Amino acid sequence: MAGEQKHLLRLALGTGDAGYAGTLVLILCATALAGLIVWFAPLESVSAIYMLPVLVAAIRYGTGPAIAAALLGAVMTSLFYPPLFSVLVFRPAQLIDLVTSLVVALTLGWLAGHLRTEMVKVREEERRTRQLYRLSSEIAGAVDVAAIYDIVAAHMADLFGREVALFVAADGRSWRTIRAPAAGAPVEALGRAVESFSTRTGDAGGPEVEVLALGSQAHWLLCNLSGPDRPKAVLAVSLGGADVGAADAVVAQARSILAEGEKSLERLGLTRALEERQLRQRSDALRDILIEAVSHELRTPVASILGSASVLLTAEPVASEPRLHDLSAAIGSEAARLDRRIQNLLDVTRIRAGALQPRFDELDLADIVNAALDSVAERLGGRKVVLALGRDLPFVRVDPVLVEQALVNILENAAKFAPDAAPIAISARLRDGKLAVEVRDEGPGLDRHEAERIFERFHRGERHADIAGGSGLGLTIAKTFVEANGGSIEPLSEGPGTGTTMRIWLPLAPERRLEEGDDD
Amino acid sequence: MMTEPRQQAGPLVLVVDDEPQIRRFLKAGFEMQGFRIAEAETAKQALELAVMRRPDLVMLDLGLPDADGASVLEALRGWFQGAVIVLSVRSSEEEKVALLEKGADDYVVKPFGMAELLARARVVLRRVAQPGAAEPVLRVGRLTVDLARRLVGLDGVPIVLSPKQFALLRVLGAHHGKVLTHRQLMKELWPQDPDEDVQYLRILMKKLRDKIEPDPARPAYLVTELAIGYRLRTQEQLDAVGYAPAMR
Repeated sequence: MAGEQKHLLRLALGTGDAGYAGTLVLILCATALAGLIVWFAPLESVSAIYMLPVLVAAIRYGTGPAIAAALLGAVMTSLFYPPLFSVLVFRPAQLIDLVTSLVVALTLGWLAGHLRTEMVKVREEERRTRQLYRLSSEIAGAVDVAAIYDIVAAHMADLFGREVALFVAADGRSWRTIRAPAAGAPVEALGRAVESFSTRTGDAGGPEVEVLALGSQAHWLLCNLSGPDRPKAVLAVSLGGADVGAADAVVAQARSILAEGEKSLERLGLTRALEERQLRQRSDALRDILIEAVSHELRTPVASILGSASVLLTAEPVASEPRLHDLSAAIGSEAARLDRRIQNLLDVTRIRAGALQPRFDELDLADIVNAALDSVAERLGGRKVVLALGRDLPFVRVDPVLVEQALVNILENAAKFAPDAAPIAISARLRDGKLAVEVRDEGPGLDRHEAERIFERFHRGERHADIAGGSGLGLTIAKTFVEANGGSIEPLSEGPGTGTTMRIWLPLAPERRLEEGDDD
Repeated sequence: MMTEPRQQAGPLVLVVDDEPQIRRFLKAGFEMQGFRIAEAETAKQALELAVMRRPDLVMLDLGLPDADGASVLEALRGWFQGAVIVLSVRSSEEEKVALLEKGADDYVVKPFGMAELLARARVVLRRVAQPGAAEPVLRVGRLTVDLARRLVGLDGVPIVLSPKQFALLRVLGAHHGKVLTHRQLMKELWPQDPDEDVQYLRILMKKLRDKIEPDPARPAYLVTELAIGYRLRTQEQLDAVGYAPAMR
């Protein structure tokens, strides 16, 4: 890379000695050409031939060699004025030749120089773009922020040809070294300096880049890599001995690279995206582990208890002794209750983790209501359920499993609070382009304050503390499940002592015309 | 009720579950009802025992340590003629559908009681005992279905069904007590177009229920397994759920 830079520098400034040597060769060639032509066909003036070296030198080597070519050309032209091959005779035409050549040399030299500068700029731009492209594609392959900084550091080290160290402080934790400086470097002093530098750059208008002197022989260039969405990070480039002149050039270079790097990083939005992805992956993994562990570790023993109790119920000695039979039945139903509580906690975990993904289907609400009634049949005991679903209701578009669970929770809640003899009524009708499902109980009802709070997590009615049981999660889950289906739920009660109606609004399936079969 | 284990006579059940406590109560429960039991902890053991012992019924847990349930089912279904009941967990309806379509006869969701499991086991064992031949006359509650003579009655009063409605009842009756997925039913009823809209099936079912269910709003015989399919209940299954005596 250093070689390439030298080459570009030479292009920009014009030339070295090689340019003047080349010019001399060009003049000699032109002279030979002129001599040859004059030999065969006498010319009035050969000055036009000497324009060629000026032209070529201006374009190839720059203004200096072009002027040299003009001067040499003017001298050489005099060879070809009569008397031939004598330089000692001066004629006015020669002066004109000289002035013309000089004007051409200066104009072309300036033009060519300008072109070269443009070309150098374009090449430099291209090189930088290539580097940034390489940098960004390397960054895109990185799996975390630390890897990104490592790539940036490697890039800097490569660019400067110097030793580089990198310090990062993420999430308010203390500074740590991602890439340590070489052995023998004053790590502690450097670390302290990095910390104070970072604090100062945090202020508005603070320095982005700073040269730090640690003793007379160790200079470090500190570059701030922090950004609004990224952890604090500082890159330290070793500048070696006290060579302040060289340091200025490096500081300027570092500034421009940081500016470009910052632009490209922000444009790509990589750092934020990467962090979010990482966070999401971590929380997804944690959630899956938790759900898996809870499902298996808690529910398997419950399944064994429930199953074993159900076997005891069928055994002759237990079946024939009512007290033992009741105990076995209680073990079973309590295990089932425990399992439902665990299920509720899992559901809440899924909701909180944003892992609730409804699987929509279009079906008859009656199917969902009946499945819910089958699920709670045992828990409702002999309680009467009055169904008034209305014939020929349109289909709903919901996740049937989630809506069933919501209904189960609402029915359980109704059964818990309503007097044993009181029936629970389920009705459904079409209203305002939606299906309104109502579950009505004749329980203690709700006052206005309660109506607002019943869906809060772990809320349990204070007036009914005597009615034991429940985690306070059932209605929260019901509400979330219904809302996940694009529905809503509202508690209706005319006040304490008047019973409660839970009204669930569910979206209808889009109307479709299905051709009739052979059915009547 | 059978209290003495009949060691040799009853059907052989292969219990495949890696949880010893689950196997323990299944063993007790089945043996008390006169079944014989073989136990496997892993998929490998299960396949070996299935080959060696030729069980009548396999109770297959899906969470085995060495393979998933689907692969065990596939390996079995290549040659195994007996019944398979899958022990599943909640919230995996797609998995249940996939397993049913791969040849599982039924599923029970953990946690489950022994009575429910025995009812399912008897239904699927009946199918294994008389492959292809359904009961000639099905009776559930007040409903009678004479498959051979195409007669349907409620309390002995004949009911007229359309050909399609009878076809649906016949398919469910041929697998009496067993859940059939939407897709399996679509294949039977619209063989030329099984990928047709499942709404046709739902509407057909609604009309069939209107004719044969004592209370179509609360079907007792033709029950919906949410997100899975339908089942025509057997008398035993009907007795197991708490319906008003009017329907039994």
